[in-house]
Amino acid sequence: MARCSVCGSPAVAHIRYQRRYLCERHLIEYVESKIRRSMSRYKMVRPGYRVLVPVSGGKDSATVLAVLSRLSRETGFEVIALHIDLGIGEYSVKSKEASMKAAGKLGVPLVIVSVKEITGYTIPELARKAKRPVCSVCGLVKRYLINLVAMEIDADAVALGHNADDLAVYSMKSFITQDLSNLPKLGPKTESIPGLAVGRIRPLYEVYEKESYLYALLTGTPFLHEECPNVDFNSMENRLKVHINSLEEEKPGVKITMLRNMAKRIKDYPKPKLPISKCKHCGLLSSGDECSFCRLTRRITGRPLGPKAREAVRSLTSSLQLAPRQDSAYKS
Amino acid sequence: MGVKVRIVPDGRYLEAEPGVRALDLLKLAGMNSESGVVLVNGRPVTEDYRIREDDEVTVVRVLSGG
Ligand SMILES: [Zn+2]
Ligand SMILES: [Zn+2]
Repeated sequence: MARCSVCGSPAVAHIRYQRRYLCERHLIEYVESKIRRSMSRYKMVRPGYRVLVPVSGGKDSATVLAVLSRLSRETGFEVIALHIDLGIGEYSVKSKEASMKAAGKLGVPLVIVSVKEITGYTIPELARKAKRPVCSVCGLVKRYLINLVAMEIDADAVALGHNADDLAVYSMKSFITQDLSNLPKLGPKTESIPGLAVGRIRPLYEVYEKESYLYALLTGTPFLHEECPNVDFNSMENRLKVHINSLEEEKPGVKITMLRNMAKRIKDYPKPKLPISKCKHCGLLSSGDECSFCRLTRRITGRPLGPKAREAVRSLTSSLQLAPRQDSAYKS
Repeated sequence: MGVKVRIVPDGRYLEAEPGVRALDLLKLAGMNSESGVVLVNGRPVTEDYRIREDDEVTVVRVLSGG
C-alpha cells in the first residue's frame, strides 16, 4: 500500500496533480493549508469580521464550518452557522440533524430558519403553487434567506461551500451558454453592497470535491451523505462534472489551473447588467422595485412576505451572543 | 468467495474478487479516481490497494449533484 510522501505512514489519498501521497494527518493539514492560502490570496476575511456560514448538512459546508471555526481562533474573526429547513421530507429532517451535530461538535452558534414557518409552505409546496421547478424556487428562497440573516446579524461575509469542482462546472456552463456576465459572480469573493447585500467568500475555491469529502470524513465532522431527492443527474451541471473529472484524471490539475486563471481574469468579463436597487417591501437587494422573494410570495399568498421574514429572522437572531463591535470601519 | 461492496449514496451493491485493486472497484461502480473514494473498514485507501477477503468495502461517490 502507498505511503505518505511526507512521513511514510499508510496513505489515505493520492493528490495526483501534486504527485504526492498523504496520510490522514497530512491530508487534513494539506486541505487546511490550501484553504488558508486561498483565504489570504483572495483576501476573504480580516480580523474582527463576522462570517455567516450556511450549512446544508452536506460535506462541503461541514468542511467550511470545521476549517473556519479553527481559523477563526487563529485570525480573530467570528463564525455563525445558519441552517435553512427547506421542508423536503425526510431529507430535510436528516439535513437539519447533521447541521446541528456539526455546529454542536465545533461549538459554533447555529441559527435555524424554517421556510414553512416563514412562508406557511415548504419548498415543494411553494414550487407547486408557483408552477416553477423546485430547484429554481429553492435556490431563490435560499439566496434570499441567507442574505437576510447575514444582513440582520450585520455579517461582513457569507462563506459558501462551493468547491473547485462546483465552480469549474458553473463556469463551464456559463461559458457554454455564453452567459459571460455570470462569471464574475463565481469568483472566490464578491463584495458587499452596503445596506442591501452581504458579500460572499468561497473558502473551498481551490479544494477539490474529493478533498472536501476526505476532510469532513477524516476530521469526524458530522455530515449527511445523501442527495436531495430533487437532484437531476442529467442536468448540464451534473453531466459536466462527470466530464471534467474524466479530463482531470487524464490531465491532473486541469480544474485548479482553470480556476486560478479565472480568478485572475474575472475583471475582464462583462459585469452583470442587472441594476442594483432596493425592494419596496423588504428593503433588501432587488433588480427592480420588488425583489424576487417578495414577488414569489406575493403571487402565492397574496402579500409579499419579505417584511414578515425579516421580523421572524430578527427575533430568531436576537438571542445570539454576538461579539461586540467597536465600529463599522471594516465595512468601508 | 467474492467480497460484497456497498456503493454510497446510491445504496447499490456489487461483488468483487479478492485481489482486485481499489481503482478497479471505482471503475466497476462507474467512477474514477476523482469522483469516488474506496473505504476499507471505514478508512480511505489509495487506488493501488488490493481488496482482501475479510475487508468491509464501501465505494463512495464524492461528487454531489447540484
Ligand atoms: Zn503523513
Ligand atoms: Zn423584498
